[in-house]
Amino acid sequence: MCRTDEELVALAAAGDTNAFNQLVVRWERPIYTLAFRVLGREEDARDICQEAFLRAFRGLKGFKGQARFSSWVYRIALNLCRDWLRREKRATVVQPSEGFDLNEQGIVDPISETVEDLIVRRDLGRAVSKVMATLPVEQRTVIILKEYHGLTFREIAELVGCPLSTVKTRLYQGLSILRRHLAESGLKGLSAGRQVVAYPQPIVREQ
Amino acid sequence: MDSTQACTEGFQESLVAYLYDECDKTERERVTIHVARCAACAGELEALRSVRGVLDLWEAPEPTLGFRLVADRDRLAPWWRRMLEPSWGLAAAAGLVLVVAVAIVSVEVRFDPNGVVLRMGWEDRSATSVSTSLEPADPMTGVSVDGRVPWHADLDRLEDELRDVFTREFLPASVTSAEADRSALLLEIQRLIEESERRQQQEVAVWFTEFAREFDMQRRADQQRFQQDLGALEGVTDYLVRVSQR
Repeated sequence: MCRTDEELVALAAAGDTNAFNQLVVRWERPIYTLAFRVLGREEDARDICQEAFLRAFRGLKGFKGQARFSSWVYRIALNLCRDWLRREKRATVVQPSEGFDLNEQGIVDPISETVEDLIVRRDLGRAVSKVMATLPVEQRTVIILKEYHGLTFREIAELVGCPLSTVKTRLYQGLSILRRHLAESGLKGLSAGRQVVAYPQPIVREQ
Repeated sequence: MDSTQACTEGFQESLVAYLYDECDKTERERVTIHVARCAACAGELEALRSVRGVLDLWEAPEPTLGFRLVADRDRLAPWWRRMLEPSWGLAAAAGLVLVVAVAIVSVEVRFDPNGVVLRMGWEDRSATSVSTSLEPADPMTGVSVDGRVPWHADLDRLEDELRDVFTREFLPASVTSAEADRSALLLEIQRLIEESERRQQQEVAVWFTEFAREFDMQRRADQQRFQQDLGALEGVTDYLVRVSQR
């Protein structure tokens, strides 16, 4: 029997930890990948993920279903990421991934893809993560929520607490910066596009 | 729409909305018409699309998560529920039965010159008292004068009530749903294990191939350096031969 998030939340609020654990199983990976892409560190992303669910559990009594459970946990995780970056005054660290999920995006067929293809993909993925780390955290967050979590502009605006137009602007500027940096890093196959005037300077510096 | 008008900063938002297909029909038509006429914006749209394609390559590592909440039942459950925990509940129930039984049969032990007197029951004491010499009275002596056994029915009723309480408290009503949840969880765990195994196999294959590639690159570099050194040595040898022939 597969219960909805709302049903599980109601059960968990009544003290059923098993119901809450089912929510954790359902949402821990998206929350972890969100934290990992924002922070760039596996260990800290794991901590943030765990803390986000703990806070959610503690706050269940106050959660009246005004938003979806997933949006609520996303918001908690994003706030934790922001606090982490602010408190630690650290820049996003580009950490080479030791492993990656080929099926995450559903675009790779593990049977037909050769090992050489995998290596090429890994190299390119590292290049992308390196360039993403140079973006300002606001732009990076918007791109991550849009590209890797498939949220709508409106959902992103509610999550990060900014107007809809700001979300679009951040997305456009972030993608433009990415395009420029990826082209500079020698990545082939990128269209030149139009030169964007007055790029905002990245506020996140690589360590 | 004039191309110059369209290519303002405000148009960037429309372009992004068009890129992610999150615009209404009017805006979509407006952007489509403009992009068909404006080469700069068409190029920009194509560039943004290609960046999106590259972003797909960044994959997050597979985490080892699996943390779960464990209920601290002593803290979460109310006191009366804690008292109904199996160990506490059974002890309390046994004590309760004893107290009730003693109360019902009204056991009275008295020492007198004739010996130990054990009296039970709430009826006429003289009728139910038995005097023995250190011999316990037969429990059935609690029978009243009119032959009734008043505490048997009470004990049966108490037993039924206790059974009801235990059935309610210790056998959850939603056994079926709990089992279904557990089986769903087990399936999920099994899926995760299989995924993890497959990923590990891929990782090993990738690692070996990378190692072979690096080894091959190193071998080629060494070979090249060796040939260069050999060439230099040959040059020196030729020079020495020529010098010696002079």
